[in-house]
Amino acid sequence: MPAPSCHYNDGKSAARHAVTLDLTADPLRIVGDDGQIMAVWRKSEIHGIDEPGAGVPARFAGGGDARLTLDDPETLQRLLDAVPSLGRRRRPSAAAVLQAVAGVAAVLALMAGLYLAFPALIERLAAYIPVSWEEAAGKAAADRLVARLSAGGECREPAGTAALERLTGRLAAAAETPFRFRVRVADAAMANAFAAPGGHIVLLRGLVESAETSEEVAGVLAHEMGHVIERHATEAMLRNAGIKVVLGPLLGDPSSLMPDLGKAAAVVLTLSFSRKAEREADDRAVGILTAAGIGGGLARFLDRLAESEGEAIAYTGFLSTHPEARERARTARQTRKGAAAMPPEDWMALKRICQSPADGAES
Amino acid sequence: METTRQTKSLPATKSAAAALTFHGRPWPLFRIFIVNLILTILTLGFYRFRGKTRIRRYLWSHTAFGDERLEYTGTAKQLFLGFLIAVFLVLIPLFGGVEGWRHYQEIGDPEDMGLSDSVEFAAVVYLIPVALYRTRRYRLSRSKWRGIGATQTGSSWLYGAMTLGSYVLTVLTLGLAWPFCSTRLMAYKINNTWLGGSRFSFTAKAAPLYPHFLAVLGVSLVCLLLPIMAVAVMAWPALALLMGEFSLANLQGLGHFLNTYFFLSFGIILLAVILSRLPWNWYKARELSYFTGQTRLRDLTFAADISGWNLLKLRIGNFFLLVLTLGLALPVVYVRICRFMASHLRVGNAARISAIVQRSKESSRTGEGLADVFDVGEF
Repeated sequence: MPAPSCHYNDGKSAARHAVTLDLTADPLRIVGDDGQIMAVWRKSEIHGIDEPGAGVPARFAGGGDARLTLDDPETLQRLLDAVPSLGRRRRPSAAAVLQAVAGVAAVLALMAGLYLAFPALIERLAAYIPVSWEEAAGKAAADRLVARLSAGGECREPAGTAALERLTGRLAAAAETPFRFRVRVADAAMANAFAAPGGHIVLLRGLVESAETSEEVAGVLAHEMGHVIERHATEAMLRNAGIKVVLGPLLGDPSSLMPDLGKAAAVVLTLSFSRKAEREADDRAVGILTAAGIGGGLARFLDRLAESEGEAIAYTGFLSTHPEARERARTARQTRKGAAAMPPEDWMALKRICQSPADGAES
Repeated sequence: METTRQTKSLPATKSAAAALTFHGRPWPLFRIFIVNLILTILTLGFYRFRGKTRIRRYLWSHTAFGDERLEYTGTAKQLFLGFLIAVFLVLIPLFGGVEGWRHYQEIGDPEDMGLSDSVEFAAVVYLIPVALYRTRRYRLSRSKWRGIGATQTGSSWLYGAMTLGSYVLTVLTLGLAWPFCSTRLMAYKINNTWLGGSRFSFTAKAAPLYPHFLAVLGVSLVCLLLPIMAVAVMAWPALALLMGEFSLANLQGLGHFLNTYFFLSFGIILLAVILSRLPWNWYKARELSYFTGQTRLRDLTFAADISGWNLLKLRIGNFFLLVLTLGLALPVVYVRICRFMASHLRVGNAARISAIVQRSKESSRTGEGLADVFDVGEF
């Protein structure tokens, strides 16, 4: 250990000066070996570099880069007597605490504001996206969805496809919308249906097979068309992208910034829409079905789902992504009794859409 | 110039004395660490800026160069502002742009989606060294010794580009360019480091590193390849069994054999991968010692005598400390690293440091930003 000393660095050079302190007056004087005054420090401006008792030689600054180090306990005690505040732990000032709290609160408020304004923002943004963009994005997402869900690929039995196209055309004519609809059937056992942006709709084989009448398929189809017209899928894609971009950096997780190999777009479609979105789609569906003069198929389908609620199938099928069937069936019942959705031969053909032409010939 | 030549002719280790002393102890640092951890959780992460600052203040104040402690003058507010700037002005616009482009591309040509992914990946790989360089600049500019501040000049964007280029060159040369690249990167960092108005200089060349590098590379490859060859040789009896007396009767025996074989080969290969990494400590130690010896600050010379064995002990100890305590021993690891650095650094002509004067400087007002987001840097 070096001998106890008091030394001073003037903040201009790294040279070390042995000094004594003259504490008789305020400002205090730092006096060099040769009796020259090296600096005068106002007592109110002196502060410790470290907390008192931190196991570090006592170091002080009096404004600027100059430093005073007191290894000599006696001199240190004299300074602490002269400036008692130096011996106390420095509490952060009220202003500093307030500033910190205000800063954090501002960031939190900004985030909360973003969070609250997010749905409205997304809805506004989705309205500005051109239909042609939605159609292209929807096609990509629907392609991927069909590829992921169906083991046997897309169902394209010609007679069934033609029947489905006729039904789609009839509903689309009643819908009065800029979207052109492209409905496909994926070879999957689940009873469910998905709406991608821009008029791309995917029905699953399980839904067509479990429907008891063509009106039920028409009802579900009209409901998915409602999602398209309300741009729910487009909003969902925007929302997903937004969340990823904002939350990734905020959470400080580099892996979330890395390229997303899962290609989230298709996944988004399999997530459920909000209850509000489902109600909007139902309202649209009721309008479309009424205009097309098709009987209450959606209500029947939802009723049957509601009955099966609690059964295992409900959790993997339509209900898992379209909740509250019982309540929604009530809305859907507003459709007046109408005609059948398609001629019986079309309905038979649609039921067989997932059989290859060869299978159909055999049976 | 004459003084420089004179000091060059002096063997650094002989005139050198232990220069750094670390006075920190694990327990006081742990108390700061655990309070930080609890408060960071309670404040949803916002306390971490102050927490980091407190840890650094402790480490700096307990490190002495010669007879004088270092001083850390950074504040939590600066780190917080840097974080906000990095998130809102750099990362969100960048990844928003890439994300938008990705969707645009998905429409045009879904098969060609790889491009936006590669760009995003390259951007992240580029931003990490940029962040590291800026972190180093911030820490130096908040470090004082005898009231004299340190600084770092140079461009973080250029350093990021150099690092990215180094990675590409290293991959293209199957690793052989690494000593050359790391020497260049270190030269850029040291030559841009200042204490007051005096600039550090770095005279290392890559050539002296190559004998060590090639030797270690050879040993490492042998460590990796020998066990793999052994596994391959062991596969012969298995294949012979498969080809030869394959019948239902010995199917069970065969299955048992294959099970053992795969289990054993997995273990051996895992061990080989770990084993092949160990020799690199000898290269890293050599590199650290050589780089330190080639660093100067005016008349001051630096030296370090780090052996591969010492470095290996430090790293293995740190690894097990962290793994066995689920990270709670981090303060102990800090103390071990600081003690290691302090015990190995020697400085020649240390007394001449008094001639260094303050540099008139304008320092960065905000903190580490990107680095905080990417969570890079040791402390």
